[in-house]
Formats: sequence, structure tokens, C-alpha cells
Amino acid sequence: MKYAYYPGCTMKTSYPHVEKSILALAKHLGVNLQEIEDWNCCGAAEVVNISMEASLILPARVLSLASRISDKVLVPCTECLYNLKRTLITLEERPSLREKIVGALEKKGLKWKPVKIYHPIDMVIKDIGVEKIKEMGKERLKGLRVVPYYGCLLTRPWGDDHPLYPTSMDEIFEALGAEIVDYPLKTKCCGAALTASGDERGLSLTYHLLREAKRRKADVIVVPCTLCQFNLEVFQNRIKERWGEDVSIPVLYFTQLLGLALGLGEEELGVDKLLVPFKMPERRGGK
Amino acid sequence: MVDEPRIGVYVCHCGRNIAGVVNVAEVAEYASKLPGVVVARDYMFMCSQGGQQLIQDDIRKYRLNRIVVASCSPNLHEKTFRRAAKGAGLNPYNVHMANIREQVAWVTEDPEEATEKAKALVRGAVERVKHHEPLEEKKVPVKDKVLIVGAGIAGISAALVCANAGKTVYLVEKEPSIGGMMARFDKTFPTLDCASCILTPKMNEVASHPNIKLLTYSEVVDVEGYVGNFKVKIRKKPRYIKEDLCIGCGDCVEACVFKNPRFYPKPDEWSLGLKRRKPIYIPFPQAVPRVAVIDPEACVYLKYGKCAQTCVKACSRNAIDFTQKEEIIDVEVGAIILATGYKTLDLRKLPQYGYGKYPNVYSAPEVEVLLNASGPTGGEVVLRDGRKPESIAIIHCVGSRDEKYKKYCSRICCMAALKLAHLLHERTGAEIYEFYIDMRAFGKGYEEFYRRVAGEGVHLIRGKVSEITDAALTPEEEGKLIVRVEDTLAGAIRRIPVDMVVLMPALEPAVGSRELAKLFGVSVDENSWFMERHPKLAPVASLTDGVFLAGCAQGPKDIPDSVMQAEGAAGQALALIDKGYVELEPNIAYVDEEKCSGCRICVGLCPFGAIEFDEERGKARIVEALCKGCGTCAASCPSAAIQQNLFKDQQVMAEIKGVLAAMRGG
Amino acid sequence: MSIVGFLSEKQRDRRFTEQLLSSPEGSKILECIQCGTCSSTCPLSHYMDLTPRRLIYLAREGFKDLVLRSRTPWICASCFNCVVLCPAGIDISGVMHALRRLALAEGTYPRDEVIPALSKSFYDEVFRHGKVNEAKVALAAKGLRGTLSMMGLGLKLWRKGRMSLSAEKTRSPSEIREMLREVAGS
Ligand code: SF4
Ligand code: SF4
Ligand code: SF4
Repeated sequence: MKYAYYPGCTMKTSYPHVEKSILALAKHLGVNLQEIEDWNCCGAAEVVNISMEASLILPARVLSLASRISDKVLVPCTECLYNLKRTLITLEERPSLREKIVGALEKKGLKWKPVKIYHPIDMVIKDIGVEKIKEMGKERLKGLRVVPYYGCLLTRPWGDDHPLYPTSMDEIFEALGAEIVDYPLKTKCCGAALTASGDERGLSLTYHLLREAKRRKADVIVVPCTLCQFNLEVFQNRIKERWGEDVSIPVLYFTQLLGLALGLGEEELGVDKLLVPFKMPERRGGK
Repeated sequence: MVDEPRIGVYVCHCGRNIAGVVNVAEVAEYASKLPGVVVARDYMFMCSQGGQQLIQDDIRKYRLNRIVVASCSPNLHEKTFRRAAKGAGLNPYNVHMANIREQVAWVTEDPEEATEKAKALVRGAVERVKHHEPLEEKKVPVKDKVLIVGAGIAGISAALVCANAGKTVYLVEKEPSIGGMMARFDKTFPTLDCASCILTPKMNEVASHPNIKLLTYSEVVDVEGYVGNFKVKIRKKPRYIKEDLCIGCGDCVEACVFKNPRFYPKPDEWSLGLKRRKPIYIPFPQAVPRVAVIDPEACVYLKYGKCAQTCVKACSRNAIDFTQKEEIIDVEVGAIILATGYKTLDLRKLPQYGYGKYPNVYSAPEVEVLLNASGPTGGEVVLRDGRKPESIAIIHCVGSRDEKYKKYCSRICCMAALKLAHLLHERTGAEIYEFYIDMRAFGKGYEEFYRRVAGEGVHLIRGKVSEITDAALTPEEEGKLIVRVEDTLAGAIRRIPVDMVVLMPALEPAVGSRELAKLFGVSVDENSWFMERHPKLAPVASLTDGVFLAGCAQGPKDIPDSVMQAEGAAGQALALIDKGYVELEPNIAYVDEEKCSGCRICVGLCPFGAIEFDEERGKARIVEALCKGCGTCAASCPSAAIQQNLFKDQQVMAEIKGVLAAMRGG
Repeated sequence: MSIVGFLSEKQRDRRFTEQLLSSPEGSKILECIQCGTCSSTCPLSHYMDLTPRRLIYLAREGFKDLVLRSRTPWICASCFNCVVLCPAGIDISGVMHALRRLALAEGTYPRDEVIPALSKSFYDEVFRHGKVNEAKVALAAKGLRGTLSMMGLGLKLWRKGRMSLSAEKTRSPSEIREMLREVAGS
């Protein structure tokens, strides 16, 4: 199994701990990740505010470079995932835009060849299979109350799972012995688009998510998106200051918790770099 | 060609329908120059009195012997023009239509292109009609009995009309009792009269009517024949109760070995699962026939072959019969009415409303049962968790008017929701919030009803609810179901915690409608509702002669409309039967014995078993009375020995040649 | 946003509606049935001056100024709840993007929102380097006060190796620049 790997800008600057877990897990599962050479920014949420065409050419270049490596590209950031998918779909549906974008690519010697876009969850489900994961995991998560939080862009507007009530992570972590918390907010926006700029309107959403997880007595939140991981984790103190409520709870990226469940070490998964520390069930004294 | 053709061509404007795109004068001018054409005209509305008169005058004046009308689809007016021709002494089968509306004007944007296309079709028709010859219609007697499928309010109403007119009616219902959805309602809008007070008498009338043969717990399994002469096979499932002996006393039910209601083996169908039932049961107190029924999937004896059979001992009339087998009943009828009704959308397809997850989220039909005096709580509104609701949200358009589910408006839910609001308020005193997009109160007395319920203090909030959740934000919301909605009239977002949620689900065709449609050969629309022949002019006829539609099977309808359509369908069925005969298109096939090689391919292919093989002469022969003119044999005969009237090879070929010649600019 | 007095026909701008209708995102806005599902599901609608439904309504009516001065497009988090649930199949989040582009082009965006400035500097950064250090751009866009309030947090992250202010670059940023210039004209 060979994937073109697209880390995206923030992975390198802000989430080296998450990237570690992705690479370690891939190695453990025998998946060959080859980082796309000289990749560029996908445009994030901002470029589309300036120009539709610009917001397409950036992901298009990434996809084109990816197609040199494999017909599958692995994308761990859901914002990138969304932009790549949006480009694929828009270019298919809008011939005039396709002509323009593909033309510009070709001028730079880049070929347009659509590739399949996978999130690490897709990779686990489609390439490895939940059965196999279950076997490997030996129920290491037994006794752990997990909130699988999916956020917006993994399943919306396009994804294999239900856009509002997805279950892919529920299935994976249940197979690993975890107790899945019924969490009605599992696809509610965490507000990251606004909190990243320090906005209280966004922060209130983060607060509700964390509060509800606490209310339902969860031990950990697991997320498929780097931005969610950041957002749900780093503002816990500020939320306490603002609303006077303790919402502290560890927040792990998907491959971090999966890695732990498959027996990988905290350090190789960057779990030691979390601001809110997390311990696996058997090591949490008393329980 | 039988005689020298003298053809009249009539090009219709159809108001602006055709003339808005096609240059009709040019088409007429073109036609007038075609060989064989004596006269060609264009006219505003050919189907009007004036148009028909024009044709008749020309026939007489120019001694026309062939007519081509270039207008709409023959589905609509072929009969009209044939009748007109006949009125002027011409054989009606010497008329042919070119469809330049549906096939040209409505689907072609460019006027020039449209005009050329119209010319080609007209030329094809002119060439074809030259080969037409006089034909005689086949007259076939009609059976004077009616089959009605489905015994809800529509089926019941239709049955009573037909039966009162003296016709024998076979009323087939797949449930063990008649009554349908309406039997579950407590009250009906807008008059709030008691549903069972108006329905039960009708149900009893059906049961006792000498002309109605009631076949409950039965399904149609096969249909053969054609208008006036249908042969229908009905499967009657065993009830394991002798219907003629059972008096519906319920002693057997009482006596059944199951004693604890919590462990009754099956959810009760009539109350939509709000309670459970025993293997032996009477569907509901007003059931017709009031006869017990045993569910073989739940009965201990029928499943395991061993049981104390306390029911048998309890029955003083010895009505229980475990040896009963299913029965096949054959009937012959002249007309059929389909009244199979609807079901509501499976709410689990809309997980955002928490149905099936939160116990206090109900579907509207469940609430109807809950309010029903014969329901599991005797009409008392008690929630699944035992509480009495103090606040209730009623949500409209759940799955209706929504691209992702049903695009159409389900028509009944606005008024039903108002009715439920009224009843729930009356029974519980709860605060009622109704969430609607548009309040559709179009029927007689409906707007008045809307005002009345509004006047009772129901909160009518214009805004579609996107989700029900139990994620509380404030202490007041704890333990409640929370509705977050845009109050579009206030232009603000509201969060409203409630104890109970009622969803008004979209209506969809009853289970098995598609299969039924195939069985009866009727068409369905994009949403699988049975399709009427014409939405305005033939709203109760299906596209199959002799099969009529009533009630929700044709599309969502309330009770008044269902009854109206049912009585209309009954009227149509009676008109058909009382005429005594039907005229069938003489489009039957026949075998040219000279050419028939005796290969027998056609014999096996005819879907109506109309082809016999004459062993002695080694030739196939078509039984005229059975041939339906489907054309299968004609198309499949390798020796081209079979011809079909109105679709003869020379006619079809001439038409094609005509079209091609026009296209080549000839 | 409260609207006082008459909404004059003079305020309507047909070209604006047509512009939206011809954008890839706004083609279906005329089919909106004004049900409010979008505003109901929107996690941020209670902060908006015009709810998504009202915004769509005013946009299709052509009230350009009201729409392009609204805060709503800048509050939208692009969570796509509305898009998934809209019964008329309208790409509401997409419409928000289209409106942002128009408001930026016209200069009518609300000055106290951060996203407009952030979008511009983000784009500049991509244009210059092909890659972006988001933390850096965010800090720049927030101004001095905002930056100071984030300092403590930044320090914590930095200690964990989760914060870097280094500038990232593709191998040849000019390639990206030329492509952007060609398709977006800037
Ligand atoms: S009748 Fe009312 S509730 Fe039902 S679909 Fe139509 S508008 Fe919606
Ligand atoms: S959900 Fe769609 S149809 Fe309803 S108001 Fe919003 S945009 Fe309009
Ligand atoms: S995409 Fe924007 S408008 Fe739509 S629900 Fe999310 S935040 Fe609200």
C-alpha cells in the first residue's frame, strides 16, 4: 500500500506531535507513505475569500504532484481534505473552471489526473479493516470512556459516513475495547474558524463541546482534525477563566489514540507533547 | 393502397403551445403540396367544436378518405378526431395523428428546427395514412363485478357506492380488519368529529352488505385479462379461526397462555407498536370483521407444535382451527379500483430528529393512537417514560418539501398537526409549540380551523426545526428535549425545551405499491404514487383501461378528498359496467398462413396466451378475443408472417420513409 | 441588522443578484423556500446580524448594500450543517464565500472583524511563499493587543515544540505566483 502523503502547512509548524503519530502508525500498519515533493499550501479557509480560481489551483497542484506517486493521497488535516475534495468535484462539474485550472497546471508541466483522497480513518477502514485492528488492539482501551468527535469537514459536505451522525471512529474504538459515549454534538462545529483569531463567539462553541463531554463523563476526546485537536485542547484554561467551569479533558488526534491502542509508545506518538496529559487505562492508578 | 388516397391535413396551433414555436402556416403549406393531399389547413384549436366541424365539412366537400391531424399526443385526442371522422361517414381508422406538441414544440427551442421537424412528422403521417384501411371495432361484453383493493376509507367508500348500485364487489384487504389508517384516529379535522363515529357505521355496512364480498387478510397475487374482463387470483391467508363461527367475544384472547403484557411476543400493529399483543388477537375493538386471528409466527402451538391450547378450550363455539390452510380465490371482474393508501416515511432516515433514540419523540400516527379512546392508554396522553407532558413541540414537513427525502408537500400534515395541537392541549393542558414552514389550509373550513386553533393559544412558530437534542445548555434544559429554531417571523433564534416531540412525517406509497403497480399494469410517477391518466381531466382513471384509482394510492390526500376520489372512481367503474360492453381497438395481430413456417416462436412469447398452434396444418393462429395488440409476436416472427392492424409493416415503413424523405429536404 | 423605514426599490441591484446566481456557489438561491433550516442548524446564527436565511433572502432580492455590509459571512464557520440539511439544495456556506469575495472587492466588509484582514494577509503569504505559517499570519492579523493576549499560550506551545514562527517556502515560490496570477489575475 503506497500513498502520496500531503501533510499540509500547519502539520510542520504546529502539529509535529500529530505527524509523529501518523508516521509511526503507518509504519506499524505496513503502509508506505511518501511525502509529496515540494507540496504547497491548499489555501485553507482563506484563499477562497479572495478568489475562487486561486482556491482551486492550489489544491490542483497538490493533487497533480500526488498523482505522480500513487492514485491515493493521504490527508490528515480535514481543512486540506475539504479543499482537495472540493477541487476534484468542482473541476469535474464545471468544465469552464476545469479548462482554466488544468491549462495553468499544464503550462507548468503538471498533468491533471484525479486521485482518491483518503483521511487516515479511511485508510484504516478501507485498507486495514476494523476486524484486523480489533485483533491487533487486544482491547487495550477497555474501561476508557471515549468521545469520538468528528467535527465539520470530515463528513461534510462530502464523505463516506453520515454527514451528521457518522460512526466510523465509534466502530474503530469500540473494536478496541473503548466505551463509546453517546455524544449528540459529535459533528457540531468547534468554532476553530473563529477561535484561532481569538474570538469569543467561536470559543463559546468550544466550551459547549467540552462541557458536554464532561457532562457525559468522558475520559478523552478523539478527533480527526488537527485544527480541532488544537482548538479543543489549548483553550481549556481560557474557557475556565471566562465561564468559571472546569472543562479539562485530554484531546487526542485519531492516530494518537489508535497508536496507543495498538501498543505504540507515548513518545513515538507525540502524546507526551499534549498540554492536557493523557494516560492509558491500565496505567491510571486505581481504575 | 386500397383506393386512391384523398388526404386532408390539419395542423393545430394549440393556442401558443405549438404555434409559439412551430410555424404552423408553413407546415400546412408544405403539407398541401405532398402527393395525395387534397387540402391542408392550420387552425387555432383543432379539438374544438369548430375544428372538428372543419374536418367534417372538408370530408364531405372534398370527398376525403384519409385524415392527418398534426397536434398533440394521440393519448389526448385520438378518440376525438376518430369520432369526428366517423360523424362524417369516414371509417375512424383512416385518421392518423402526428404529435407536434409533446414531440416537437415542447422539446425544441429553435423555431426553424421545430418547423422542419413538424414537417417531417407530418410527411411521415401522410405516407402512413395512405396505407390505412377501414377496421371494425371489437365489442366485448363486460363482467358486472368490481374488485377493490384496499379497505381504508377510500376503498370502503368506493365499495359502498358500487354495491348500492347493485354490483357485486370483492373488497380485498391485506390486514385482518378493514378501516385502514383512519381507524386509528380519534378525531378528524377540521370539524373535530369523532373518527370512529363516522367510520364504524361504514365499516359495519360493508360487513353486512349483501353485495360486498369482504376478503380480509388477503392479497391479490395475479391479474390477467383486460378492461371489462379481468381474471384475478386472491390469496387468503389462514387466520386459524373459522370466520363463520367466531363472534369476536375475545374469550380466546383472554385465555391465551401469555399473561404478562411485557412479554407478549409481538408489537401490536394497530397501535403502531405502542403496546404489545398476544399471538391470538382481535386487531382493535371496532375491527371488521370482528373475528380473532392467530399469528403463526408468534403462536406457541403453530411454532413449536406444543401448547396447552387454553384458547381452544376457552372458545365456546369451537371456532379455532389450527389446520386452516391458505386459500386461493379466483374472481372475474369488469373493473378494478386500487385504493391501497399510504404509509408514513421511516423516521429513522432522519436521525436529526432523534426518533427511536429519544423515547419521547413520537411520529404523528403514534400520537393519533395515543389519543384514541381505544388506544393503549385509553386516550390519556402519557409519555413512554410515564410522565405527562407539560410542553410539546409539533414539527411540520418532516421529510416533505425536501429534496433529500420527498420533494412534494404531503398535504395533510398541516391540518393534522393543528388537530393534534388542539387535542394534545385539550387533554394535557400542555404548552404547545407548532413549527411550520407555510401553513397550508386550503380546504373547506380549513382556514377557519387554523384560526380556531391559533385562538386557543398554540404557539405557531414559522421556522423549520433542524434537530432535536438532549444536550442541555442551561439548568432549565436539563432532562428535556431541546428544539433550536429560527423564529423566522421574529427573525431570531430560539431554544425551546419540551417534554414531548411530535413529528409530522411525509407520506409515501404503501408497502408493495410498486409490485402492485406491476401486477395491475398501472404506471407510477417518480415518487411511486399510482399515476392518473390526466391530472385534471382524468384524475381517477389509471393509464390502464378499466383500472381506477382512489385515495392516497394516487398521491397524498385528506379524508374528504379520498372519499371524493373514491366515489368518483366508483362512478367510473359503474359507467363502464353499465354500458355492458367495451370497444377494443382493432389493433389485433393475424397470421399470414402462406408465410408461417410453423416455428412456434410466437406461441411461447405471447404474454396473453393468445396464439394457438394448429398441429394439423402446422401453422400458428391468433385467437382474436385474447389478443391485446401488444405486438410482441409481430416483432418476433422470423418469417414476417405476422402482421398487426394499425402497425402493419407497410404502414410503419411508409411512415419512416416519409420522415426520412422530409429530412433529406425532399 | 434592523431595517428601519422603507426598503426602497432604488436599493435593489439586479446585477448583484445576477453575479451571485452566476457564481459556482450561488446558482440555486432563487429556489430557497425560506424555511429557516439553515439558521436553525447554524451553530453561530445567534451571533449573526442577519441569519443565513435572511441573508439569502435579501441577496436574491438584490439588496446589495445590506448584504455586503453584514457580519454574517464573516461569522460563518463553514461547518456545512446548513448545506447538508437545506431542503432546497442550496450551498449556503458557498454563498457565504461568494459574498466574502464580493465584500472584499467592494471594500464593504465590517472593519472590526478579523477574518477579512486575515484572508488578505494569508493570501499574500501564499502568493509570496507558496506555503503558510498560519500562526504567524494569525498573529499579524490580530494586531498588538490580540497578540499580547495570546503570548502566554504561545509560550506553552513553543516549549512543547508545537509553535514555530519560521517562514515556510516551496522550492520555487515563483511557480505558484505565476499560476495564481494566471488564474486569479493577481
Ligand atoms: S401539508 Fe404542511 S406540513 Fe405537510 S408537507 Fe405540506 S407544508 Fe409541510
Ligand atoms: S435551509 Fe435552504 S431553503 Fe431553507 S431558508 Fe435556508 S437556504 Fe432557504
Ligand atoms: S456553514 Fe456557516 S452558515 Fe452554514 S451552518 Fe455553518 S456556520 Fe452557519
